[in-house]
Amino acid sequence: MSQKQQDRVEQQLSSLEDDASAIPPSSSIPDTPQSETVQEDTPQSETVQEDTPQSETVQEDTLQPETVQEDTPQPETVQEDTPQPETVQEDTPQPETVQEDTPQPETAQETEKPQSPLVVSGKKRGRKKGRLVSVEEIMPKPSYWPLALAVSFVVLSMGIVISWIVIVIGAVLVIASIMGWSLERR
Amino acid sequence: MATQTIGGTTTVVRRRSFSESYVGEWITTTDHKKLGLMYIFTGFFFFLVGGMEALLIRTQLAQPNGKVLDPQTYNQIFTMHGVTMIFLFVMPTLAGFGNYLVPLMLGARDMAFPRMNSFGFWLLLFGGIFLQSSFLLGQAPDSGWFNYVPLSTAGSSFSPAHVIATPGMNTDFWVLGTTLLGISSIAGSLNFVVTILKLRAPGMSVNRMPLFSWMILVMSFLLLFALPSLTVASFLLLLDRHVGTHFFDYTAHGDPLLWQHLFWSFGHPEVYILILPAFGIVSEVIPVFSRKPIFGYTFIAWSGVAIGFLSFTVWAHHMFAVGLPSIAQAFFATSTTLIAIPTAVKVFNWIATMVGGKIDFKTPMLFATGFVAMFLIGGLNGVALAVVPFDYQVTDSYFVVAHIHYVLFSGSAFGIFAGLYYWFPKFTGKILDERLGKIHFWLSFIGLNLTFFPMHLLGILGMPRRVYTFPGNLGWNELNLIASLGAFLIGVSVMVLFYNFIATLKHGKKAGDDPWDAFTLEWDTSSPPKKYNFLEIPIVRSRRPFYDKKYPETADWKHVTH
Repeated sequence: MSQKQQDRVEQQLSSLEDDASAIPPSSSIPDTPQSETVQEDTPQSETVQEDTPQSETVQEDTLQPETVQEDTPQPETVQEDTPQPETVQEDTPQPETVQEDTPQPETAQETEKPQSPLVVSGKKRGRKKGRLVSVEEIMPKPSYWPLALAVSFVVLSMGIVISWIVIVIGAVLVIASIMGWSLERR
Repeated sequence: MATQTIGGTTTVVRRRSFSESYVGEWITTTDHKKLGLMYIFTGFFFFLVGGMEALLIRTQLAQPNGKVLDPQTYNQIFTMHGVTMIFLFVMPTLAGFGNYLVPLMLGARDMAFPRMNSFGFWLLLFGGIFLQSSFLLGQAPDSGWFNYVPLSTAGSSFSPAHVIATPGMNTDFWVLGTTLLGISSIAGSLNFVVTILKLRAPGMSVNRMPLFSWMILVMSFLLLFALPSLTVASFLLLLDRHVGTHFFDYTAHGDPLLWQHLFWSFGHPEVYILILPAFGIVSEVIPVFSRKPIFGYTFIAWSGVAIGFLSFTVWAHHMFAVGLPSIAQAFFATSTTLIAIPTAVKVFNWIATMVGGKIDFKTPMLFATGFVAMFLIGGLNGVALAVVPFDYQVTDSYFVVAHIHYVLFSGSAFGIFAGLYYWFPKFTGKILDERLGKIHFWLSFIGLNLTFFPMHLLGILGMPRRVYTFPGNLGWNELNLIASLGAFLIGVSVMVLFYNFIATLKHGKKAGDDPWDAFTLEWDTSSPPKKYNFLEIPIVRSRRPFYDKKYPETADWKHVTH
């Protein structure tokens, strides 16, 4: 991030800090200090480890915290309206309170990184327990390439009814789209 | 990116990417629910386009010697009406329902190949725009939705001048457009097959799958096996038109009938591709509004499979009049009659489900029962067309037009409407207005019978299909006028539906998560569902997992062994 952008971000955050009313009462930033995944000994302005799954309590779904030993048998049918989050000791996730639908303090261009709720990963047949993972970890990421490839095919087809030049452009676009799709980080 | 501490809280701030903006989210989405909604929205947009084309046709035919359209434009309009309604309304809308609902019904978080799913949608949208853009050039396809040769050959370039043909780009638009849509359908079908076979929740055996998922599975296999035939035919025609080959040119020992065989070996399974998911929708709606489990689940599921197999053995009943050998006529007449059996099995099972149930005639149920009653007419006149001597009399007449519309409008479209009213609360969190829904149903029901029933009589009286006008002394005037009035009544009913959409989205009643007290897993989520569908993948113990959860004391798994 450039120095200019950095300054603007800091300015925005300072203004948020000064103006408490700018933060909605049920925002993702709670009153009590919440520990993030920032290393304890590291200064807080250091880079946050983004990919580490965060455990959290989703207020909307009225999750009740519950500590579950990994080998403890789980009830087979889980009441989904009042799901029970698991604090898995092994991963030592840090608790965090997030209300999903609450707007994040942001300007048009800059925003906080959206917090990802936790879900239980899919169970294999014969295994009763899933893993607690962040939604981002298991849900597909957005991509431009399917759209690009579709447009490329249409340009190619249009070339057949218009001219050879359009066919060539379409073919190049198809190859570029397939390559982009293949090389995209999932 | 930067981090900052406010009151002891660390926040991470970064620039928002385009894919996180509202528009960007929809454009780059790989979420099956968003893609499903986009499919449905696109389908209904093209439904309006195809509907307007239908009204133009009926305006032209409302009176003898009509002058609303010239013959060439009429040819383009009736061709594009068929192409639009089949490839751009019914197929995408049903695929949209499948996209949205199949993962939810199976207890999965998404389709097996989310980006391929996105690719399939975008190709459908741009393929549809490509096809419709042919109107801007005045060269829309004009050889019928089946694009028969030699009408669709290039004519003067490679064939003798006396052959009536299409030297312009009209047919090229058809060939390329349907190929693009075919690729889109293949992408979607592969996705459905893998999702259904591999991503079912623990405990959901194929024997416990919702019947809608069953029918989507069968439809997907039909598409995978039927579409190559169309693609091959289109490719050969493209070569005939642009490279100078003679696959279909009889003057150079090609065979025009080859086109008909290739087209209909796709085209007849296509009819079942259009109707099977509607069977699935009706099989979900009827039990919920009869407050009973479906009667004969296994028969309904496997009769769908039987229909799928048999649909590949009946294509030549479209070609009785071309002079097939007697043995071929006997075979195809028999197989066509045979396919009525598994279809009738479904009808009996739906009726048996309703018998003794506490039927609640909400709008989805009205459309579902309307579907059963009207599809029966379409099925029975289909059996009549399987009788070779009768087919000789009415082939290429308005009788056939009546048959296909009883199957596809009062069948597929009514199924879609039933599904729309049933799952709209899940899609949006709001419930469509019941009074407007009933008005929509009754206007459609009356309108379709006014429009399509007289066409049986017109066919028997000898009115050929695809004629752009007719003289006034053949006894067809009144029946055509009634059909046109009925078509406008259907148009009004569609306006009521769209008004209902808009009014409900603006200030509709909140639906809650389970407004119908339903049975299947898609209702076990919020309305609309979260991106991840389920916080935890559910475990399934019967065919009605959500019913089991709501009513544990009478849960199916306690009493039923499947």
